[in-house]
Amino acid sequence: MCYGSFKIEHVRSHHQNVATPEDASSARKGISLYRFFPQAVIRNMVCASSIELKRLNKGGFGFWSLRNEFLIWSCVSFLIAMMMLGFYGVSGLVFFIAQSFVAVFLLETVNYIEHYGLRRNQRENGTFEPPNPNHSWNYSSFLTNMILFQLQRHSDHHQKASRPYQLIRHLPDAPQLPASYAAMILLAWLPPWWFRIMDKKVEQYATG
Amino acid sequence: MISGTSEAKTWIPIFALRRVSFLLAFSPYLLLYLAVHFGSRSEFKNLWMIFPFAVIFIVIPLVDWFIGLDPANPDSDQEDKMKHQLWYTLLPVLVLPVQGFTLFWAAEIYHSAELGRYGQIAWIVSVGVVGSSVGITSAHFRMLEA
Repeated sequence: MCYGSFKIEHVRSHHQNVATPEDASSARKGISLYRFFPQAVIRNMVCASSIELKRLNKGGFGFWSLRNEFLIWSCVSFLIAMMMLGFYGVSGLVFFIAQSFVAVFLLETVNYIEHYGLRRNQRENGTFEPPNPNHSWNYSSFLTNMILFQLQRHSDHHQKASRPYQLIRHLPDAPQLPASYAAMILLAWLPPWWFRIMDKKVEQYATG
Repeated sequence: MISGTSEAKTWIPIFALRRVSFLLAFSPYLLLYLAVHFGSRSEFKNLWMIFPFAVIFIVIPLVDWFIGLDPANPDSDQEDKMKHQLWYTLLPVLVLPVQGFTLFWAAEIYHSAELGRYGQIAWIVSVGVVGSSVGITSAHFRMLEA
């Protein structure tokens, strides 16, 4: 889907920095999806490159190395794109790139929903409190949780990212969305309505 | 509200139900195949291309709202039983080949189905949404396993 930086950023930054300004995938309160999306994608790639470069430098390798995960995933995307071009010509390539854009846009819309407006408290020395269930939005509806492997039970997913999906728990005290992801995605596409509904919810959870 | 959320005796059916229902992860792909199946037999071929998108964004949240919440959690005995079952491990693994096959099949449809401009856009959106929802979610859980 042409998003070679996603895995690196998600595993090695998002799960550590969630709900802080340092996380490319956590949206602050008051930002619309359309402002969040381009900066989330750019920051994702910048963040992934710098994490990966640091790791490579430690092992004595440079950016242009076959050990660079960002490059490997980008090569996979490029290979699929070339197969599309070979099999179906320019229309195949256009189709592949366009559907990738839709997929990435939807992915970032879900990132936007999952942590919108939730922030970890900063300590006096500048570090942040550890992530807790208050830093993700949840919804335990049956059908969407079956289709998405219980992704909507998001707080518990962040408590332990390696927990098998079938064991992810519903945490009743964590922030709860008013509806399942599909409805929330439609709402996120309409910022004035999103702010009207979600900003109230954010304040509700911020004040306890 | 699905019954038996807290009573220890009735929680078994919900986990049995969920176990089978995780197969629904493949239903968005099925929507793509249904759209082409019905579209090719219909005079509204272009309109059918938006069918998967429409089901995902209209029918699914309505069904979610209608069924209500499903907040039950497994207890530690149940967790031990569910933890290493091949069934649960296999489902997200199987999504990858389904996603790969569907993507190339969808490109073939885009290339050969003689869709109008709006039908093409609708198909791109539907395929992107399905790949993003199930394809990325399953890959996401697999990359966090390690």
